[in-house]
Amino acid sequence: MALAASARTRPHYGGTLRIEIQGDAWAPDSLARRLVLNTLTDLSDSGTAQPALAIAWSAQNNDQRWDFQLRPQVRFHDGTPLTAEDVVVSLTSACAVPMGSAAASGAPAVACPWNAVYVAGPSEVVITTPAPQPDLPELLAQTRFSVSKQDDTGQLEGTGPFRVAGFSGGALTLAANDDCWQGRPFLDSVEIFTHRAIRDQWLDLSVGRADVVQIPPEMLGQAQQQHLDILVSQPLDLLALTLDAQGSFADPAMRQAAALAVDRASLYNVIFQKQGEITASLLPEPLSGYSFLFSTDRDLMRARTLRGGAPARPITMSADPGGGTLQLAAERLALNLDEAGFAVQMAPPGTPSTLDLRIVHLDEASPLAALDEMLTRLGQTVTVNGTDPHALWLAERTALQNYTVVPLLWLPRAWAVGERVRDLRLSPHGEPQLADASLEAAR
Amino acid sequence: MERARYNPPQQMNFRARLLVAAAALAFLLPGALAANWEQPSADLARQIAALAGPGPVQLTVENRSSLSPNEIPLIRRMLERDLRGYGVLVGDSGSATTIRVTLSQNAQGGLWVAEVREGTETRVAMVPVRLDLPADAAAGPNLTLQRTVLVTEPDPVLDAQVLSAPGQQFLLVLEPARILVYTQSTTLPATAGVAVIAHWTEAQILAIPYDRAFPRDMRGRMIAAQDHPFDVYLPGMECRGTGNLLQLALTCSDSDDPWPITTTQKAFYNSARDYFTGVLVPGFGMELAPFYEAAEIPRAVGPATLLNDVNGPPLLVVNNQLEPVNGAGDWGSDVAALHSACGTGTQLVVSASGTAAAGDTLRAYEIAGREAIPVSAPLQVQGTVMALWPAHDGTEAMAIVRRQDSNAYEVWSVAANCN
Amino acid sequence: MTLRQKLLLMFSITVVGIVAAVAWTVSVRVRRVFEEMDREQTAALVNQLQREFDQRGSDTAAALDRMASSDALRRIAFELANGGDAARYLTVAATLAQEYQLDDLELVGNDGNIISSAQWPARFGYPEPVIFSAGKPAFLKQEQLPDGSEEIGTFAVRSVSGSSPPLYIVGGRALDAATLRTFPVPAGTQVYLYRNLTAEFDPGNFGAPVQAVSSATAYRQLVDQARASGQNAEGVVYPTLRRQDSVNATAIPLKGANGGVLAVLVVSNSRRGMVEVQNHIRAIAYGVAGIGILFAVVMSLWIAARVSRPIEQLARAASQVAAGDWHARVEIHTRDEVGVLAETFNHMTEQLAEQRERLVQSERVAAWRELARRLAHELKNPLFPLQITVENMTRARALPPQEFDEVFAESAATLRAEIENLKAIIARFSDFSKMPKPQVETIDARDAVRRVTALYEPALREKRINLRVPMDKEPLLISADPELLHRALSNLVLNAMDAMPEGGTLTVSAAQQGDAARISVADSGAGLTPEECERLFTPYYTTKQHGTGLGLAIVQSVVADHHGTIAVERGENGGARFVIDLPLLAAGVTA
Repeated sequence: MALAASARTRPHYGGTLRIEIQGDAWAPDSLARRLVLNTLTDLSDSGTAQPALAIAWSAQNNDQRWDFQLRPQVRFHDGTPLTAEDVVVSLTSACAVPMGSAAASGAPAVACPWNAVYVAGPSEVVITTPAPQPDLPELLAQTRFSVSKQDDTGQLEGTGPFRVAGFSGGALTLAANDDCWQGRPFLDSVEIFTHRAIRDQWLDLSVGRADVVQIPPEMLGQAQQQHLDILVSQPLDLLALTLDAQGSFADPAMRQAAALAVDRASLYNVIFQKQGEITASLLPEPLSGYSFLFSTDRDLMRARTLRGGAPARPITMSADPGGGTLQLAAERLALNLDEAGFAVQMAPPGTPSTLDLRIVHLDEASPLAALDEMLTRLGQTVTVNGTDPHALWLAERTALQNYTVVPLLWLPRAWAVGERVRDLRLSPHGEPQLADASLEAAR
Repeated sequence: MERARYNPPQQMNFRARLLVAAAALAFLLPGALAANWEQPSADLARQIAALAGPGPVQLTVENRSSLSPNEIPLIRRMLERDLRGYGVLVGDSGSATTIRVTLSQNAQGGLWVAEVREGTETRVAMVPVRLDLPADAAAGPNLTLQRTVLVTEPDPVLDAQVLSAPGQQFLLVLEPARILVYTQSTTLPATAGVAVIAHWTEAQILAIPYDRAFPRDMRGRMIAAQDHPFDVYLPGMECRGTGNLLQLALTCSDSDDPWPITTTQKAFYNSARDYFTGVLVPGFGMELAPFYEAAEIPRAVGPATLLNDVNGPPLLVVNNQLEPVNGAGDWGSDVAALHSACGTGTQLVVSASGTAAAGDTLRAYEIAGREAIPVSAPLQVQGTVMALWPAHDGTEAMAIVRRQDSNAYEVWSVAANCN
Repeated sequence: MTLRQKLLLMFSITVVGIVAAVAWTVSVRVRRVFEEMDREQTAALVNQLQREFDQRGSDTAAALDRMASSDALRRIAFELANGGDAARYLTVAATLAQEYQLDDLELVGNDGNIISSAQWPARFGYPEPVIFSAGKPAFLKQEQLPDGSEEIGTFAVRSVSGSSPPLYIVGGRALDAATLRTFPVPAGTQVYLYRNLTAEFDPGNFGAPVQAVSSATAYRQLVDQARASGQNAEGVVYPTLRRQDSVNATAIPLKGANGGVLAVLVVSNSRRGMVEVQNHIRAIAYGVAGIGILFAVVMSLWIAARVSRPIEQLARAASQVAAGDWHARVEIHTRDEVGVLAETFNHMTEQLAEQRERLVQSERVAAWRELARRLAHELKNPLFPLQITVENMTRARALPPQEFDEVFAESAATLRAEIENLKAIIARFSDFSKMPKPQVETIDARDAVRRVTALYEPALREKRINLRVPMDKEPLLISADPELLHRALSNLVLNAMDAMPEGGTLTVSAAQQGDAARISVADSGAGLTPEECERLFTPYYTTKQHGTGLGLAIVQSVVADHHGTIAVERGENGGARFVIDLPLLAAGVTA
């Protein structure tokens, strides 16, 4: 739904919207990428693929050969037309770029789900996959499969509603693409201020220096108390504990003991202030409908039994570099594990450790593609045999029975929006769809 | 959290939808409801029987979806019945086999999950369940705005008109790149204050050769014509429907001609934006600011034209005089005049933004002098009003609503019923 | 040690002893005075710190009192009492701790579980048993931190005013190195905190910058004493070997609410100032003592010189006499006992000189007699045949010519032989009188041995004498005249051959013996009597029938000219064994 219904006024054209974020503007899955670059497909709110740069697609050979028809008359920001070759080059190079948190941790690139991408006609691209890939159109909506090209000066050119106009003073400025195939955005420009602390963002919002700022999930209640205009996404970020199946955790029983020792309720109720949902599943409940089958109960007695009386060898735990709340959650989990008899030592955030508390972002919004994505991001090699919920549940259960991943909470993404912003919606990825937003003119 | 808005609130929307459905079903279709659950109940019972085998079992049914608690006993009874058919007898609390059925839901709809527990072993069966919806209305002090959902489209809709041919009605739905032609097959009788569900069958699709980029807030207008079925106005393009309603054809050409906005005035549309430029033909002999929409209000001294200004309050052009309308502070940009037997006989249906949960509203106003007086309660639309144009016969308004939950576009006809 | 040295030593010891006794007395007294002052200063400091410590506890309690009655906390307590969600206050403790300048703060519900913790936010929901100390004065508490470390602080527990059920606040201020630095201590004083985390003393538990572990270890005894007894312990600690680094340390046990020692506060007061003053005074004392000792030594020297000089003159004179200077005299300047002694000495030397002169005359006469005897003996032997021959020739004149000729020829031959014999005797005496000066060069003693054995090997074989020549493998470099040495060795070998007329074994060896090359010539003959051994090297002494007695004298002369020694001893085979030791050249030295 739109943040401010367009019934009040239709969207106004013009103006510069200022948005502040904690991270980097050009990071994978980032807002700027989605504004500047397009993908072959987009996700509908129900998670199905819908046309973007590709207007149609079809599958043959048991979903192993996909034929994508490109949208005609699409031009890059420098005026050059989008060609099938551009798409092939982009998709091919995407396989060399690490995605998501893997990039932050320096992990190797995640393999692309195809084994060949080639030009089949002036506006036709064919992708072949080694195994049936019925959710390929949905997977192609991820930002890592954005279509771009570099111009003669090395500048990255996209086809999105905004083009990069400059970067100065910690702000990335994007200007409206008048010739965008989706129509010119209402805003003239967007300024993305990066690396801003949350408190500073809120302060800027309150004094009108920012129009859109971030709200960490645990601060949603506080934001509501302060009567901020808030946009909240579906649960999109999985808080999960990953266990290195080596050393102290080489024994699956020990990993199971750790999984049984974690107290999700305290994380949910206190640290994350009842935001999101408690989970033991790789997919959020609204998406899968079966998450409740994975027990979220804590069983300390059984955890102690499984751990046995072996002397506690020190186990290191670290959290993704993501701020104090994540660290706090990691410390809480360390206390949980201490109760089960594990000796956990906290390591600085981002340090490779036996136990890592991670935030894994979910891009996909259809159950099959989402499970594929989560399995990939969490390094699980389980194959999903089928597309129905039961097949998904079986695959997920197989993955989770290794106890190398312990899902804890599904968290939403939230943004606070200034009064002059209208028609702002969140994409299925949880990012503000600034291209459809407008700024209210004085009335 | 009065200003907080949840996006896209699948669960909440689904719950809202089901609440609406439940309300409607409570009055309308208890039999139809039972029919909805028959198939999934049978499927699930079959799977459970395959897992548990015949014999006594203990059954619990838990609702995790937005289904009404009233429906759970019904579903349970169905399940018990279907299980009995497979020799699975429900009831023995001391049975070693327990079956827990969870009525869940996901992005695709309902999901019924059965956990069959025998000892420490648990096996799982799942059945997806299709869920459906219905509608409502809102009564006010003088009149009640009643909406009728004509069709729901997955793609953006710009306008729609119901045109009549002898013995048959046609619904023409204007989309940016095509016109969908529906014929009416069935009409369920309306009950006071409750939705009327019309059933339209797609009959024809007319492609619009619109080869330029769609504006982001694209608007279009479809108007019935005298000597041919209709005209279509799009940014930078004009189309003419030819032939008859049973066999239509479309002729389009680039055009910057003004769009008819009232019976007497045409206005030039800014094809790069989403508003009229303020230049009218024949005009009122004055310079006007850009506006979104116009409506004609009969007055004793001659019709007044209301212009919903882009940057300010609505203006009323009376006798070539420009007057601001009071009491229109919460008006949206869309307004359409309709004629009814209530009040002054002419009401303006106006869009307005609503709350996060309920979405936008539509409300009827009458203009007394320079005052906008609400004459109906706001009609919640559970979505966003994307377009609002007068209907062909002037007695209704055609509203295009984008649903909050599904992002689907609904074509509504909105009528005013006197209280 | 000379008499003068003895006197000097005796005087010096006496003086130094007296000076040292005085210096020690002064030093001990001064040290005691300073140490007493230092102890008093440390005690005052400890008292001050104790007060400061107590004050901090009071400050902490006062801060909690203020907090307990604050509107903010009363509001929170009210909301919680009315079913408010405790989770909302997860971060409240951190905010309040900052506001009230507390290091640690916990909000604890009536059930004893933590609602909010500033120092360990993740511990919410865990029990905090210390709430039973609510309302009591501040106390010490050991607090665990998320990183696994533990800190000690002064804590107090209060319940929020008017809260029912009570909402507790447990707050404290850490007692760590940073806190200790804020303690008002004078320069030279350090305050350390030992956290009593382990049963055994662990230097790593020192919370203040005790720079090195070894330094921390120095405090072990005091800390252990304080930990064990629960009482203050004090003493001098030597963090390094330097005395000026020593400190007067007091270990104060800090006890928690249950009386257990949670930490030990160590107050160390540097003794550097005191030690430096002590050193200064000691330096002055040593300086004075040194000068005194020096003066005493000089005086002792003078006195000793005056006492010992005449005795030294006497000793010198006696030494001269011992060295053969029979004319040594002592000048007499005094008339004391030493003067009488000197006079007696002079008289004694005069008598000794006269007796020696008489002895020389006597020996000279004896020598001439011996020479005459030898000459007579030597010359008598050839003269007798000469006489007989001449008489035979005289008698032969009466014989027919032919016979005369025969006799004459025989006689002439005999005469010539005896004359030759006489000439040989005279030549030997001549040779002995004109022994040449050695022309030294560096030679290997083994070569000399080889040369002489090679020369005489045929003759030895002829006389059935076995030759054994054992020699060192290493060269035996000596500085010697090879010809003279050869001559000497030849004499010894010839003597040995003469000593074994019936054959036997001759052993000629060369080996290193200490710093000398030892050459020995041993025969297996009849050997020598001790008397013979004693006189063997006397010129003109011989045991042979026809020897001149000069051979071994020449050998001894040669050996002496080469700075060596020669000795004769009884050999292993019963014969005589001549042993010559010649000094080896030092490595790298050549003649």
